[in-house]
Amino acid sequence: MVLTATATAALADGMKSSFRTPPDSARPGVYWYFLDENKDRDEMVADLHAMKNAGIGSMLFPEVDLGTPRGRSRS
Amino acid sequence: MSEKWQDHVANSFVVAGKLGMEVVLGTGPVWAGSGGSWVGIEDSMQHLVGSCVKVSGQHDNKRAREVCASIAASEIVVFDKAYVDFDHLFDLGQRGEVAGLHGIAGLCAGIPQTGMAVGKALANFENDGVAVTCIAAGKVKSRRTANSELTFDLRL
Repeated sequence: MVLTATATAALADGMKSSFRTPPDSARPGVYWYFLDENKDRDEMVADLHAMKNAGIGSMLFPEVDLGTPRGRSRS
Repeated sequence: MSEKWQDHVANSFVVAGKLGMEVVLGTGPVWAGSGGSWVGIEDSMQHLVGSCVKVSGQHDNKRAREVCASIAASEIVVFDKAYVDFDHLFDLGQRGEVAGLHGIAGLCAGIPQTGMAVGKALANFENDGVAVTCIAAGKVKSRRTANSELTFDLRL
């Protein structure tokens, strides 16, 4: 009985901890779109750190060609 | 996609990896605008083409087994309510070719146009009182069957 109560308490503590600090596999993902090569090496790294700090775990990255003025990574 | 573009993207992927983040690279024609006439047919955009086989009426194990055995990667097989619990449907899923209706959303995640078109087509079956039980999908250049009751042609 005591063992069961102890194990249950440990499980509850583990769930609380996981909820507060979810593993990377449970973090949300976002779209990370770039228009017409408008991106920059340093800005992309800054983006990643900002998303990491916000709790984002994954990104879907498409290069989107919508006819906006070409950006800095073109050539 | 210039050398600079590749450098920026590759570097960001490396940084993401170090941060324990995952990046899915989406590319292709349409929005992504990659490709062109210099891309050979084998490497060019492909179409997802499916045909549908509809199985209805009284539950007939022999017929259902025949349909399941002959299912192609590009076909959707729809069984009506008489077949909902038919064991062979689960066998199809284990072959990795078939997903349940709810699996379609996952299958098409990240491809909104595809998801909507497939979802709409299957919703029509549901409106007809047909239980959509499984779907098989695959990428082929061009394929239509004469006996298909539903054909969809989706550009990825």
